[in-house]
Amino acid sequence: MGKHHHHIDRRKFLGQASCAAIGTTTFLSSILNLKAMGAASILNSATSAAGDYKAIVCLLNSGGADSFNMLIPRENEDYQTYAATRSNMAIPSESIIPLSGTGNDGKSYGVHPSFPRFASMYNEGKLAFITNIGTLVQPITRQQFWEGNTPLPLGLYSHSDQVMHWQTGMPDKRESIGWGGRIADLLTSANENRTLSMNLTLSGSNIFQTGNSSIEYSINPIEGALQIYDFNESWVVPKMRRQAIERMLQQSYSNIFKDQYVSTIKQSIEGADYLNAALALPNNFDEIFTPFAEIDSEGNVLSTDEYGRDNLSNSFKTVARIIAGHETTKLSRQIFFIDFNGWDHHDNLLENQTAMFTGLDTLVYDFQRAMESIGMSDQVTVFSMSEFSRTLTSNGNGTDHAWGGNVFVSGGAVQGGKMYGQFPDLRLGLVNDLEIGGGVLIPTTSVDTYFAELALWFGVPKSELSSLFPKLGNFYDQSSTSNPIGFLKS
Amino acid sequence: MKTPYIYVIVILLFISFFGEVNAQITYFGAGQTQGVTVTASNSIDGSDPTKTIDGSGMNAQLLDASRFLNQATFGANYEDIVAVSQGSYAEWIDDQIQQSPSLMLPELLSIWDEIIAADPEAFGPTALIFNYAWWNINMTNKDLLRQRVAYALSQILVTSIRSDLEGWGDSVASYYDIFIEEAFGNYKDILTKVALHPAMGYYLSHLNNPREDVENNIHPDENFAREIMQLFSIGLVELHANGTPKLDSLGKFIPTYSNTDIKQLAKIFTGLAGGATLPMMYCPDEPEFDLNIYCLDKTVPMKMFGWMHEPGNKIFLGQTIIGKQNYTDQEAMDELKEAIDIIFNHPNVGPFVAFRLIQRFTTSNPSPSYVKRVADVFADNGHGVRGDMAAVIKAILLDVEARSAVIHDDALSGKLREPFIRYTQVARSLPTTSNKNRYWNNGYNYLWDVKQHVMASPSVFNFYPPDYTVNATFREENKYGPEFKIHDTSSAISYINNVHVWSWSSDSWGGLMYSWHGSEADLDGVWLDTELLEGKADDSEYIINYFDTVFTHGQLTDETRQIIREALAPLHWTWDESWRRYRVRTAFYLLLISPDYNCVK
Repeated sequence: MGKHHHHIDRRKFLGQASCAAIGTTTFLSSILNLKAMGAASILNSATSAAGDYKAIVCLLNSGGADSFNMLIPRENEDYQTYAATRSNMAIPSESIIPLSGTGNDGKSYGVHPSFPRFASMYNEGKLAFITNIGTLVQPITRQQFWEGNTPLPLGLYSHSDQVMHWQTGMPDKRESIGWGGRIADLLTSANENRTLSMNLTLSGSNIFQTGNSSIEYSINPIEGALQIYDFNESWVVPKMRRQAIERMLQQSYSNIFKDQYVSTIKQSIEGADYLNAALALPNNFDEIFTPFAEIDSEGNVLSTDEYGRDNLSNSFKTVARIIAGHETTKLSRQIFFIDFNGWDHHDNLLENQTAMFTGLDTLVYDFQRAMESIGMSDQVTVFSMSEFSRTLTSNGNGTDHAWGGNVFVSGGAVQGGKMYGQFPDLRLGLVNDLEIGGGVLIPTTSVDTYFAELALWFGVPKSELSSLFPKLGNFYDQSSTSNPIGFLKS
Repeated sequence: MKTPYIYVIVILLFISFFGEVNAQITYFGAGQTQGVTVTASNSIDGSDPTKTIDGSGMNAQLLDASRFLNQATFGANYEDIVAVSQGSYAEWIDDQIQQSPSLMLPELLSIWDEIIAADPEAFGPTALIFNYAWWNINMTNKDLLRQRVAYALSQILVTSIRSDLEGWGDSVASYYDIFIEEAFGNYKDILTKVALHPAMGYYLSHLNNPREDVENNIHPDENFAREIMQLFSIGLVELHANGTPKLDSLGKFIPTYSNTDIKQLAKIFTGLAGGATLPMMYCPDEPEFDLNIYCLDKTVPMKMFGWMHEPGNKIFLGQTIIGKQNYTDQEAMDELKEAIDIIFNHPNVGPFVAFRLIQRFTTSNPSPSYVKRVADVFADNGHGVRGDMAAVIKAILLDVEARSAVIHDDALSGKLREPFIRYTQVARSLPTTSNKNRYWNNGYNYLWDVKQHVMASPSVFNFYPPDYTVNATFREENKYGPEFKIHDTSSAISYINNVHVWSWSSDSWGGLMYSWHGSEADLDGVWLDTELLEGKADDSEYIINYFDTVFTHGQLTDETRQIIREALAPLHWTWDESWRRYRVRTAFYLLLISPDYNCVK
């Protein structure tokens, strides 16, 4: 049953007050620009010439998406194994949508019936899967796992730990700095605009985009970059208010709480004009992101007049608009973050997957069409993350936390229509070297190699990979001339 | 121009910061005169600096009472502050513990009766009605500390309306009532009631959780087993009594449990299903295992169905519960209680709960000795009782580290005020008017804008993790600032704009709150009432001092004070008296968005 939605007249009065004009004097520009002065560009490709633009869009499916119902084996024997293992959580074979060609093991695969658009993108070479991927400190066998002497990611099966490791690329630690943030630390000088963060989030602050020095810019999916009400009004009351606010922001604060409270407000005011100018540009995205595709963070399909404030369709549309306006924002490298959460399906797995996979399918497809419509598909890559896949076995009407799973990447730069990595044996028990009990699989591809490939494509020099991903050397020879996995065109 | 009265306490010496709890210290000044110099004093009620120093002055006590009340309640008005400043905090707490609980479920049901009387077709009661009930109670109640404790507990033992629970406001209310009823009860009872509540059973999916079915590869659901240990009681790594992690011989953290422990404990939480059914068509009179949730009365604790309870021994946390092959309902329930007893007695629970609760009340970074003092009380309230929440709350609020004035000058101390508490504090601290004499606040607008409202966490991990590090400085200093997780470039501006609406909105909807059961023709809102202060608007210092007393507890800095003072000065004209309102509300607006207010010490 869908959720009940309330009748709302919510923004009625706020809407009137919020028509603040664009064009604030950026009184802080000079201060913030100092920060980036003297930094040299270290992009590995030719530096930011006109037209050189790249973006990666991180689509986090937090909660732990059961991705062994996203990508499903179709060979008769393999499907029978799948069905036996997954028991009452299995998708009927007749409803699986076949993918054209075969996986890298020569076998045929298909996707969940809610993914018709994924299937077509895959078949057109715009989408690829990486299979049985997960957090690893180093490769590990089942025997080593049982013996317990081989380093493992901290907090296996724990949401908070695993979702952290996917964002930090440092599974042997509990770190609060993410690899998107660290890339921004490295590459920020590639952007002409040093005021606006390379990292933009549609889902609030997150570990992925937190760097040592860079902090993500959080934007409202519906209202864009927010402005202080009546900030540009000229009569005495708002004028005195504004002067006072500016003075408060200019003060320095020795207390670390006050300093951060104020610096977030400064950052917001500084960036808002650039972003809202980009968002004000004409576009045809409303025709591409159709209203029926509005989906809330739990995957429910909403109609336009309901309250899906953080809804995902608007998040992707806003990302598309900001990418389209990159000449206005003067950014040539951007990292976006969208959290499509609610995948912790201990309960009602099949029902929830049908709705939420439809949401995923629609969002990624609409976004791809939007990028194609502005000729930027080759410059924008979407990649998915989820802290773990779920147990192959059922708990009655759902599944529990596991380890290795499947992810997807999409965009014009993707060598699509392929599966990368090793699709695992889905049998239970000792016959399967990867299965460590309860339908949990040891990953055969490390997330480090996945992230490293995205980082290289984005412009991170190879020499910096090991500082971004300290354990990468356990999975990839960095002197190699080939890409870590190979899913992106070089 | 009037002489500015500046309230500044300069701490010259660091005195007995980590010393023993001194219950006699009830306000700045008293008992801490050594090394404290007050250069001037607040002008309200005409105190003078020497009285602040010797502790006999009104102001030091007033300001400290204000600070105390904003740690311990959802906000206090000037009169409340005066009253509390005249007594001891310990006595106030004792009195609060005796206040009878104002429960959400009866309030929700009474509001719902009113709504369906007007609209028999109304769907609900949804979480919206829970919000109405919450605000209606918390604007009019006497059990101030109990309600604040309940809210703190709701951020540890999390369920959320951002799930299907949104449709079941009655269930949310009855879940929240566990915390109101047990705010001064025992943590073991809280854990037990939470484990058996259908809202939690639904949220973490142990409702209708069947026993193992080997043939079909079906194993017990691990969700609740994991989170009751990870988030509600023990945490991931072994802790010293002072909350710092224990290290093994290689200097590594020691995990508290393995996935095998989870799988074993998961067996305990099999066999639970609805405790009562709703009188609806197609629904049976008596509850059954696996009955559709829509047939269940989700305010009644879950019932154990012994035949669905996993047989056999359960071995976890190094202990063994000797199982049986067949269970009566009671035997299965006894086994669950035995398991909760094992969890509750794990040595981590005291420091784990102490650290999280301290963060909700007083500071983001309690010293290990503060955590230990509270954890010790958790372990034994002095009468051999473990988990006594009344004693724990008292220890948190009366601790020297909560009461000390020393932290005022510490660059690393403080806490970002929770956005939700900023809202409640405004609503409770100033006079308000409403056109229906009620506080049915929808709450959703504020949630969307600032990412926080009671019972609306995005996940079981609460609005923010307790160990959230904000920026490079916090990381270098090894400090946490959980609330900064929801203070981003979007919510920070949204908050300012909400203060704008509270300050200035006088149009058809409520400026401070409004229900979704009014309309432009039949308004149902609440507005701030600053009329009394407007009468004093000639004296900007009075206005600033008033807000400083109520909202910043005397912590307004010279610089911020000067900024506000200069903003108010030009707001004066002769053609009408409207400048009075602008002056008062500009002072309010600026103070409420200032770092001095938002970063509380």
